[in-house]
Amino acid sequence: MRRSESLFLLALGAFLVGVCLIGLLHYDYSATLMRFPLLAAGVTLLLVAVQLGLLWSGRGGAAAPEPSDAEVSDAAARPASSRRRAVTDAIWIFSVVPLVFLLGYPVGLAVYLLCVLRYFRISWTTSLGLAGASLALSYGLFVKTLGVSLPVLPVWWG
Amino acid sequence: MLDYLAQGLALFIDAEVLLLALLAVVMGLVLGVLPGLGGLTALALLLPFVYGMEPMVGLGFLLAAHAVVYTGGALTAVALGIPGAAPNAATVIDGYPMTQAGRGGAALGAAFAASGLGGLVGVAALIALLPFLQPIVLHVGSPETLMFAVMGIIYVGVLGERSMTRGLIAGGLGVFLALFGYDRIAGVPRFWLGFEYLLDGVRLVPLVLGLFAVPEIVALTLGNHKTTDRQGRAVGFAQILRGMKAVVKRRYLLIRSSLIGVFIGIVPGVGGDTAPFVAYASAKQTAERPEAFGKGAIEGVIAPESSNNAKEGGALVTTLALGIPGSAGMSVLLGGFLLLGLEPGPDFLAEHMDLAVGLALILAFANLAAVAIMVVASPLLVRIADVPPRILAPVLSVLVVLGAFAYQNEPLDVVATFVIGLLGCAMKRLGYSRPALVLGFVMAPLIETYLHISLQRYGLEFILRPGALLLLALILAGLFWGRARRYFLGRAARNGRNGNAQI
Repeated sequence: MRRSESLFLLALGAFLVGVCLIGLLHYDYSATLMRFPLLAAGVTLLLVAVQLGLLWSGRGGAAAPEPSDAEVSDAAARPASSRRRAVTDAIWIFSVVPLVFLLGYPVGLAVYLLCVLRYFRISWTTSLGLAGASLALSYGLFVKTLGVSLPVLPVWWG
Repeated sequence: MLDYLAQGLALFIDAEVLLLALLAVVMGLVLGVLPGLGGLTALALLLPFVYGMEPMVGLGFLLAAHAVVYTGGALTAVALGIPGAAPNAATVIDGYPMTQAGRGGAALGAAFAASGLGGLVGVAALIALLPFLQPIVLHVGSPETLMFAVMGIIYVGVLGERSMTRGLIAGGLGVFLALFGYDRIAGVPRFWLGFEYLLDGVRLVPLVLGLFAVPEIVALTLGNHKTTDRQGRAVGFAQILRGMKAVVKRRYLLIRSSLIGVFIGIVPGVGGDTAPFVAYASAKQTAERPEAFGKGAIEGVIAPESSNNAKEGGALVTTLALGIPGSAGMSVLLGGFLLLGLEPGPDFLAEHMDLAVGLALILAFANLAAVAIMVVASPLLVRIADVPPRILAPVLSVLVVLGAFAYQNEPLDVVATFVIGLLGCAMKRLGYSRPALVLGFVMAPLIETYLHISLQRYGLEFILRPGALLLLALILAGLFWGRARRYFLGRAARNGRNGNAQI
């Protein structure tokens, strides 16, 4: 946990420094425009340095996970095969983003639900029912009834 | 004040406001019944849909849903022994043993009545306090407004969290993320990195959905679903009514616990999970038979549930009057202010007292409607908790995608939501405060504007104004109290490990 938090803080520090440097060197923003970002980034970087110091000196131990975080923490403590399974599960959940861009929103969401539910070994009846409900919600309610301009066609269609 | 009350009532008695608030109550109850999805997730999921609504309609919609989530959560806490949200955890202690003893209906009746009546006490406190706060906020200048905004972030970051530095880092990151896109003072695009999408900056809805909804979806996917047997789940209306009568009989306990909730709700950043446990401890200390607590005492259900809903009225006091959220959920509600074109902070109460009163009335309406719905529908709603997380997670993903897109009809918002979701997962796992990040994000434009005005008008001496000095002292006190609190918590934990814990 300590290693992952150090990496998180270093990435955060790099992000803050990088964005400020882009503002100063690439965009050449005025002092007035950069005053507040530099103040916000400076204070945050100082706190990042303090937290890193605490972590590396062994005094800023990992925060006890919230009760609702127990599941995520449990996942971290699992054996390698189980961790792989957890990563695959998470990838399936995140696959909704490429799917809606590849297939369009209404169809993409329905296909996503069908595939993910089947991957989680949910029965065909429930999976097909929920995929149909998703199609009815996204196309029937959002596109047809509410007039939301949900992209019906895939992005690559043009 | 009577004028404002009449104006607030006029805003409240509107078919659109009432219908949407009722819809929000149903949604809030369903989200509350689903284990693990608290008020923050409910607000995150509903936030995109208020864009473009009238302020009273939109804020009423969000507030009504948020206010009743814990009433829904009481159902699973009592019937299944699984708290719907963290603040319902105290209800499990006595509610679930009552169910196991075949008195589940009475426990539910007591929980619903205590929630509803506690919520009403919270509203009464809110309406009573607002007139006293308005004259004060009318005299707040730019430096004080700036200090109030900074104080809010620091209090939420420090007091509500286990690690002070982590909370403050999250708040600082939130402020920084809000600086992308067009600068409000000079009108120059900042840090847009050549992406047109970033000209409008990081957007609030993808940020909130990514920080709160996506990590919950991932946790549902990876977690193990707790199951309980079905013993005692049968809910009879006669038992529910008996439980409700028990609350009326114990009205002093109800009022005392509710006032504890109101007080804790007012203290910025503390509310949330704390109020029900403090009310529970107080009820146990003053009970005639404290030994019955933990074994199915109905007072152990009434105390946490009444304080739970009452604290929202208290949390609204500082949220509306000063722009300092009294609870994590109120940080997201402040995001709703921005979406609806309102600026949180002391000016809000000075300019929109009618809206503040209208929102208090919505809170009362939501609490009463929730009780009525729960009494009628609890036998049906209890089955929702049986939905396996592996079905719930992908269904919620679909709702997140639709919500993210519907906000501004922008496909890249969906991508941004899931990218920020990775940040949310990391923050959740490592114990960084996500409400503090959202509050920093919401307050950053206000801080930058008032810092600019204060510096232009007073120079660096703005900090020496009496009001600013007082607020600075309060900020330092908050930091000190944050450290002291952690010391006491650490000591209590060490004592607990040594077997010396005293409850």
